[in-house]
Amino acid sequence: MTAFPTIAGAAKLLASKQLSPVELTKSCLARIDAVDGKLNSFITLTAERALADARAAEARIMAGTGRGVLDGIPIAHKDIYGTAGIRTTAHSKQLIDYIPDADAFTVTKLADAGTVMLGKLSTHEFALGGPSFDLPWPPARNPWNTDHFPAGSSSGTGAAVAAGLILGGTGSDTGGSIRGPSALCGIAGIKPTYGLCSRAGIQPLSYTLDHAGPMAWTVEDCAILLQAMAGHDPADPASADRAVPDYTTDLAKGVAGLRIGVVRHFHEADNKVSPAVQAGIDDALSAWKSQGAEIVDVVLPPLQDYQAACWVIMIVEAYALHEKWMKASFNDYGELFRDRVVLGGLIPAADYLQAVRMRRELLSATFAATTGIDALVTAGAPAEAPRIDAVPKWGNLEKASFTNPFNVTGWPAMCVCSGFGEGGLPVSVQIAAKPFQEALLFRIGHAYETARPWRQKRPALTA
Amino acid sequence: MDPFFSLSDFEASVRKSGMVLTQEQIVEIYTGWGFMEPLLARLRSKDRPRAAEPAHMFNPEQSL
Repeated sequence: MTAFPTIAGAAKLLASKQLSPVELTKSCLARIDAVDGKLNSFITLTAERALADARAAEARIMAGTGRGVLDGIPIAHKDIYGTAGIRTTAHSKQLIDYIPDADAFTVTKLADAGTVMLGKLSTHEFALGGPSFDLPWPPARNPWNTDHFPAGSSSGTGAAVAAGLILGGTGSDTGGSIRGPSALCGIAGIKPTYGLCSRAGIQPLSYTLDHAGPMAWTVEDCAILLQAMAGHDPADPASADRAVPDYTTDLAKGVAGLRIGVVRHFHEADNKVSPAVQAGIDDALSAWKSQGAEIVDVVLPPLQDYQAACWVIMIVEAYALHEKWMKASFNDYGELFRDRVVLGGLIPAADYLQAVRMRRELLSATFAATTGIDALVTAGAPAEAPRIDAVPKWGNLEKASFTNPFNVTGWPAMCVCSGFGEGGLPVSVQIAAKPFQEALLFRIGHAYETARPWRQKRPALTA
Repeated sequence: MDPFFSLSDFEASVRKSGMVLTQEQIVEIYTGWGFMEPLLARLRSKDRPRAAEPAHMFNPEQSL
């Protein structure tokens, strides 16, 4: 077994009985024990549950009744995903003793696929407030340099995947919370189409912007995880009632003949990126062009329009969700969450409605600008990870985020590592596609990822 | 960025909301409001047709 197997790699070893799920799980637990004191990626470690899951998977595999590619694969869940009988805190004092009596829909689906649950992962408080140092648990740190920010809100998942503590995990994405940590931790993460993965059983932040999705070391591993997570759930009113295609069949089909649109004004003018991020985008475009894709420029509405719609909708919906506690137990939230959500309580209803109307306009404009285009490319984050103690409180309002447009439109988008910056931390490229074109996104991401050596390097994190 | 809304207006708005904040917290969050105002102005600046659907459609035949 290599030191840090991918899901696809481990699955082959498990299926051929060269690797035991129990052995694999114990190796993850040992690494968590050795290094997570520096990362803080776990809030709750469920070692006994994990070993029981692993023994059950091993029995199935040995009996020839394995459940497929995820059987025996150790993963963990962002701590806003409800887990029956296991504390689900949202990284908040407000839910410090909350133990759900049911799993989230996606947790059940991943368990049914045979995954081994190692525990619950750090998040920004209620998927919004972070990095915070005034909560019951410390914030997760970036494994490439623990003085730096792993981004959020799926911060624990990003850190744990990059550090090789888990082979994959779950995240949620309301304004960029899967793609941000994927970008800054140098992993792959996809925010699927709105409605593809049920949010039932997951602590909400914003009903109309929340998405659930997977994060892993490679694009292929994200495809494998999404295969298990996707599917209709009547308990989520936004859940799409449609067949889920096979996400791995065409993974290696390449990009020849595809038209990839570059939204240059997003990352060259609206929010100009660092030289390393720009170099990564240029490198990815060069790789796809050399593989037969056509690269064209696409002009969309200003990034700030998407930001305005996204933030006003998100913060107002978040306030509506938290209003009772914001009035009754304000100081039981961390400063970052409560201060940001206060703004949502002060925005006039008319402005919320204008944001919702603008969302429709932006969706129409995005469709209109992408006729004949298969996918869009821009940055995932503007630069390498900043120091964790230098993240501005209002940073997401000061500068428009590259991830917001695809929450506003609901289109699928993923971040893929595109190299390393001057500080030695990862940079990333973001790829988006039209609704329910996840298989195409995986093809494009996989084509770049396998053409470059970035997956050969892991954080040099030692005990 | 200096907010258009004055601090006293902002404070009155906070009090009206029912949230109980200290003066220090109000002053701190007022800074964030300064970043929110340009976003709100961007939303308001569009000259939308009166009939532009506000996206709150619902299906009267569907029970959730």
